[in-house]
Amino acid sequence: MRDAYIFDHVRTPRGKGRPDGALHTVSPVNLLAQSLTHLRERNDLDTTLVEDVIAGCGSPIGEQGSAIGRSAALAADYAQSTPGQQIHRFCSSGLEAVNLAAAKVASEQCDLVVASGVESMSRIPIGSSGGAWSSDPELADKIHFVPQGIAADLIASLHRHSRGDLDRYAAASQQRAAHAWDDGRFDGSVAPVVDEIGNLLLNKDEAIRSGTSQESLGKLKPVFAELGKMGFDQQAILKYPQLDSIDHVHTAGNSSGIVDGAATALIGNAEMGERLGIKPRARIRSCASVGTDPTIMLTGPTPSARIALEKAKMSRSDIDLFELNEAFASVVLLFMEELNIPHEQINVNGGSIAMGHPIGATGVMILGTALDELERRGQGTALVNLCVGAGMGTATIIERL
Amino acid sequence: MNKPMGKTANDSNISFKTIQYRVADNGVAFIGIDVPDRDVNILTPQLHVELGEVAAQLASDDSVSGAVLHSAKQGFMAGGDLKRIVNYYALDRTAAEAYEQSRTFSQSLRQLETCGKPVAVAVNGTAMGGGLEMALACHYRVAIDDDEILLGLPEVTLGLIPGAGGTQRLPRLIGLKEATSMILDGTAISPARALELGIVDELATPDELLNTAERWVLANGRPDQPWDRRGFRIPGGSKLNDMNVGRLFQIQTAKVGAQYRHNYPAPIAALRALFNGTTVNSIDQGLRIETREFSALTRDPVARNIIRTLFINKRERKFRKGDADSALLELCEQAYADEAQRMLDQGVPRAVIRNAAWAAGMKDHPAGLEAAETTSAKEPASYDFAQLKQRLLAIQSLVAAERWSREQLDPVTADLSTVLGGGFPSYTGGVMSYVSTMGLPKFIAHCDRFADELGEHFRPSDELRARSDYQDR
Repeated sequence: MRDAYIFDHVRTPRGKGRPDGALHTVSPVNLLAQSLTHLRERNDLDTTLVEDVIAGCGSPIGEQGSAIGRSAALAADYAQSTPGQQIHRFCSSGLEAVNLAAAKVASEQCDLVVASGVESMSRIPIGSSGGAWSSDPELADKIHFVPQGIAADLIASLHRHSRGDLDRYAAASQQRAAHAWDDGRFDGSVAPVVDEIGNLLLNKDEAIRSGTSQESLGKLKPVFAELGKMGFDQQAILKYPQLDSIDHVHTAGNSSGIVDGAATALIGNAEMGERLGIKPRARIRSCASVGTDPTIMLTGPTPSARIALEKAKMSRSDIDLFELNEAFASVVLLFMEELNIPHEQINVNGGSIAMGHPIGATGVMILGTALDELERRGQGTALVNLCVGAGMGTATIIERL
Repeated sequence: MNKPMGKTANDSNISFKTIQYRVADNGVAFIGIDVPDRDVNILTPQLHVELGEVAAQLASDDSVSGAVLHSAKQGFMAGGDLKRIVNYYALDRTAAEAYEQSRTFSQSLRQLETCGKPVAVAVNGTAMGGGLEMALACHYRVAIDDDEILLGLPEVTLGLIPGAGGTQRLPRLIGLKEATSMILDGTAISPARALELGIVDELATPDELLNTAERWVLANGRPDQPWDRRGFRIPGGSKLNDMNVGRLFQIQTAKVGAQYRHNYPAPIAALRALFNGTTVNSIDQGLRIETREFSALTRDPVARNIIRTLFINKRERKFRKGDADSALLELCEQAYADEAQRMLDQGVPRAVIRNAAWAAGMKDHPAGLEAAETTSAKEPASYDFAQLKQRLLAIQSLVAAERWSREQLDPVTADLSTVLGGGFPSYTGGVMSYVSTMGLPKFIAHCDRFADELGEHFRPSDELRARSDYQDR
């Protein structure tokens, strides 16, 4: 096996995933194409050398359907010989695109691959692509399917995360994201999105609320209590009978935001870096995905992190920075408890609670955020991780060069 | 119901045992359901077959322009014959045998629906289960405008699902949302409500019922169903690329899980038949899917247990709550509470015990466990939840069986008392059906294993062992 390197990455800012969001008028293929174009231009890339454009996408239907990686490569005027595909593993689709690109390079089947992700949640709402795991009565009943928000509340109930714990964490995410923007920490990796006539649509994450405090978050209503009453709480309790009830503590404020966005990363081997004259920025040390209980669904980060550490022959203490997608605050709090991670070491520039979670793109975005921060701090290693629908987790360990 | 006046049968009349068939001079065939030796019509194997024969006759007789299906008795159709259905389980058929034997009625109705002649139905009274399914297979449905008349598909409450097209035609007629709640809840509606929903096409007075149906046939009513026409789509959608459909099944599955706690196979089978049967474009395939699900339920003891205790025995004994054997109920309640206390003493958290009782289907928490605190997940589970559920039911059945072994207990009364008078779950059929479903020798072995592990209170007595040739009633 050869080493796979990250040469560069770039993302769009994240627009609110609503009809009045800044990126709503941009089609997903255009959104991804703009990011692909920036990646090419930043690296003066000869795209005839790109052997695949892998696009993670959470709802690969309609305008996001049918191998949007290929559609976006064509739209971005990549070489006709550059193929494209899409990959789906719910929230980790983007990171899975990175991991697949790394595997293609490591196995010497490719020398240069673009890993990417896209989600226009304002146009293709989450859940649009259906799915047997949640909606086929046979399987949904068998696995005691509950919606993700109920699963997050289930984690909080089992692990005694109070509403205050979650809101405190969420407020910190907002403050960290706002500070990171003010400090210019995202400037190097966020490229603006423009409209049809070249006017700027968005150059900064739109959803951040810098004035957020634990107190202001405390006023929000729990989102999943009503849904729980429809039978999902009982389905969860039948699987977790130690609970007398489910505490519905997640709100719009301590859960990830619904946004539009795309991101790309250039991944290849050392020789390709030399040929292109671009310096590798990080080595991909290991990748892992794992299945866990589908009912509680969101507990995959710890086992996937452990597997990734084992594959890299590393231990928890070898990791300098952690980046775990803030799908829900309880997911991050549980991960911190289980791997004994201090708050100072994880999601140091905020996360999806503040900036939003464009499902298919998030994995690529947080990989880039972790790499940029390693460079800024002069640190060595980062573990990037997401919880995943249907009970999975995906992790990647990178080492800065 | 009076026969139409002034119309004489012509030569093409053929005779059936369960159907009065006559063709009027105007070419309209009158199919009068008239099951012999019954005050009200009920589905019989003969009627299942003869409806198919009538359909063949309609198709082949060129002098017939269409038909009116009606009841030749008071009331329309009470539905399935529970005394016949309750025996399915004991027949111990293979899956293939049960499937083959479950197909006839559904196939006959499909034959009627596709006979090529317009068929109107005149619903003169209550049409439940297979009665409503019969009406759904007709091209035009007229009912008497009377709120006393009930139209419904109660099969799920009997541990079954509609097996003659109900889960397929109803959603194709009124959409999955309404059809799903009607089938899952098993609630009956009035003809007026059925008209609103689109299940019935027209209401009529009793006097005008047959004429109204006949008029539709004579006015060149369409001899096909919407779902057999090109380009048909189920109202409200039926596929998972429609988010509303996904959400409907997510929520209904959760509701069923919460309500029935995975102890009853019928409600989830109904959802599967609705889901899988409407995902396919062909109603013929949908009907096959429904028959598979229905036939599987006839081989499951739950339908037998529910029908035997809650319907047949209850009716035969004219059983009311006040008739319950209070000495037995006290005995069971005590055993239930004692077992819960033993669990508590073994360190099982209170919430877990309460949830085990709830998950097992018990109506009330064991005495003394009315309140529970949530326990932390951080302590690893040291209990087997499935076993806790079994313990709470088995101990009650054991004390009942011990009394029975000393010939102090009538099993039927015990079942009725514990399900209707106590809080024992209906899917078991009652404390004694719980034993007979397992088979007494197996039940004794089951209790012996519990006794070895948990204590001698689970040890069956010699008297009970001596009765182990007992199989079933």
